[in-house]
Amino acid sequence: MAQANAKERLRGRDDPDFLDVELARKGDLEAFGRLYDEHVARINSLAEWMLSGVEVDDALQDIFLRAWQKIETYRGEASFQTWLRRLAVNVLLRRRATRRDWDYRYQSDEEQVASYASRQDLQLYTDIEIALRSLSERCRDVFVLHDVEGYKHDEIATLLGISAGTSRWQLHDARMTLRKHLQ
Amino acid sequence: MPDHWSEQLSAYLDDDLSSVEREALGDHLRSCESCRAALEEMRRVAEWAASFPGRKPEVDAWPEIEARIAEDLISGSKPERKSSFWGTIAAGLAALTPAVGTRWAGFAKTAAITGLVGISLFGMGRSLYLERMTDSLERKASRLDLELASVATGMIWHRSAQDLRDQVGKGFQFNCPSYGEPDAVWGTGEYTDDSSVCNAAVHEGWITHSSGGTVTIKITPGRDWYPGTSRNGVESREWEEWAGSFVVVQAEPWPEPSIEPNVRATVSLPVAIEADPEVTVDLGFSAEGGVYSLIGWDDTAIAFRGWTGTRIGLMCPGGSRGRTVWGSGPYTDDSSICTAAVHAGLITLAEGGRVVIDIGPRFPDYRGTSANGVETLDWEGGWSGSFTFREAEGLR
Repeated sequence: MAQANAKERLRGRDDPDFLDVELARKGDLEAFGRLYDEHVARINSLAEWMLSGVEVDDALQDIFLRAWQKIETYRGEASFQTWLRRLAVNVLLRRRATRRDWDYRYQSDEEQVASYASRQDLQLYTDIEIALRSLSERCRDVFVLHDVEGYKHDEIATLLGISAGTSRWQLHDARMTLRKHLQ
Repeated sequence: MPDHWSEQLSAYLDDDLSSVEREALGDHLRSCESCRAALEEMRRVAEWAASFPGRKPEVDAWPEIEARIAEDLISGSKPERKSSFWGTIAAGLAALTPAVGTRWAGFAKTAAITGLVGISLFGMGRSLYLERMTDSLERKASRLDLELASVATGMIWHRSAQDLRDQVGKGFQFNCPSYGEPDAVWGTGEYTDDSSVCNAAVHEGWITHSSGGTVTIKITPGRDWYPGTSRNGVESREWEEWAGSFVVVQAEPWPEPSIEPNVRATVSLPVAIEADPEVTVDLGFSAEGGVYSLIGWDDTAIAFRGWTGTRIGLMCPGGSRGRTVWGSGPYTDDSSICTAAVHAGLITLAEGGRVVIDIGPRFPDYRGTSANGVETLDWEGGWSGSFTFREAEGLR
């Protein structure tokens, strides 16, 4: 067992975050701050895509707080970036599943886009990012989980409570829509 | 690209087709310039997504995160992992539920929780320990005299027990309509109170998604850990600390629908007694002996394939952009029912409404048309299930 752990640790040295992760595991908050700086952009975009605008700031805090709390359990089997992004998806889906706000669940797409627009200066965004936001929630979830986060269809099916076939169709629909907005 | 080849482009891009399908599509691509262009554009979309660097938040979240971490460090509330031995025992005892009956399972769970409290003594403050021990004793006291203090009618499968958190020790009854939807569940035997109550009952094996049923739960205090397991087709997830829980103490499934070929099926759907104040829709509308079940815009009729002649009342919520539909009546059974109803002129995207579908057989071709602002697609080469609309009433 000790030998296996040693191998995992050595493999972790290829990860550019290795040193900061090791320091953060020992309680170094500055090192964890550097990990935040390195990864916050991807995590923020993920939160923007999976939640409504008003919730993103809170969710971002929850994700990094939970990462801090759970970093002791990170074993280095995957890169820290992969571990953090998987944790973020779990927190975001959990957050959404616990939100029993019927109005939001059936918020019209126009309202969702308006919510997004009110939070952000859309001029900063590319057409494809805006188009991604205008997809239906389910379609956007599947696209983000598959093409951005690298999940497989059977994993997405489990996460979202849909069939793998539905996941494939939603991905197809999303790509067909988004291709019109490539620059 | 109206032909069915275009539907396979995404799977082709991901190398997700059988060798036969891949070869056939490859042959088609050589002669279809628009398909090649679409494939290339989809490839660029996927590449864009994989390499997207993200955008930093407009307001830096780090100062707030740093402050919250510092708060946690001062209060010493950084979570500590429970002994995996006790976790295994708790999960094992909870897993006995169907075999030994509710009462003994409740006892087993209590014993397991007490064990968790004991083993954790070294890792927590004395006051916290006493608080949790008191909880444990209260659970023991209330274990044998479950009182059905009031009845709540949770008509929808998404309904949780979170709003009942302050009713610890009391029992509540939920009506889960037939043909329920999967939803998230955390725990085994004892579930986080934000879990779907109806799905927890499926996980425990009391009812099925198709049967639905009346489910009685008891509200219990929060726990430090909820084990995740896969049972009866429901995958419950693991979760650590949560402030409220419930256990399913009893459930009675509705009779399974009786299906006879070409005869209208009797589908048992409960009439809602009292509307959930959080849900403003009325599910108690009754017509032809049935009740309209609330569905989403992604829902299709594929679960009813083969039940030709079955008539089902459904209700679509308002506010959607519409989903994919094949055909113009009959529609393929994998079409979005609600979107097809808009196409048929029965309801609107903005307002939704009630519709009744008849499940139909296989048809060789489905012709797409444009109507009422919805463009449906062609499907050629046969599709094994279909549906048509019988009647409708718009929801106001």
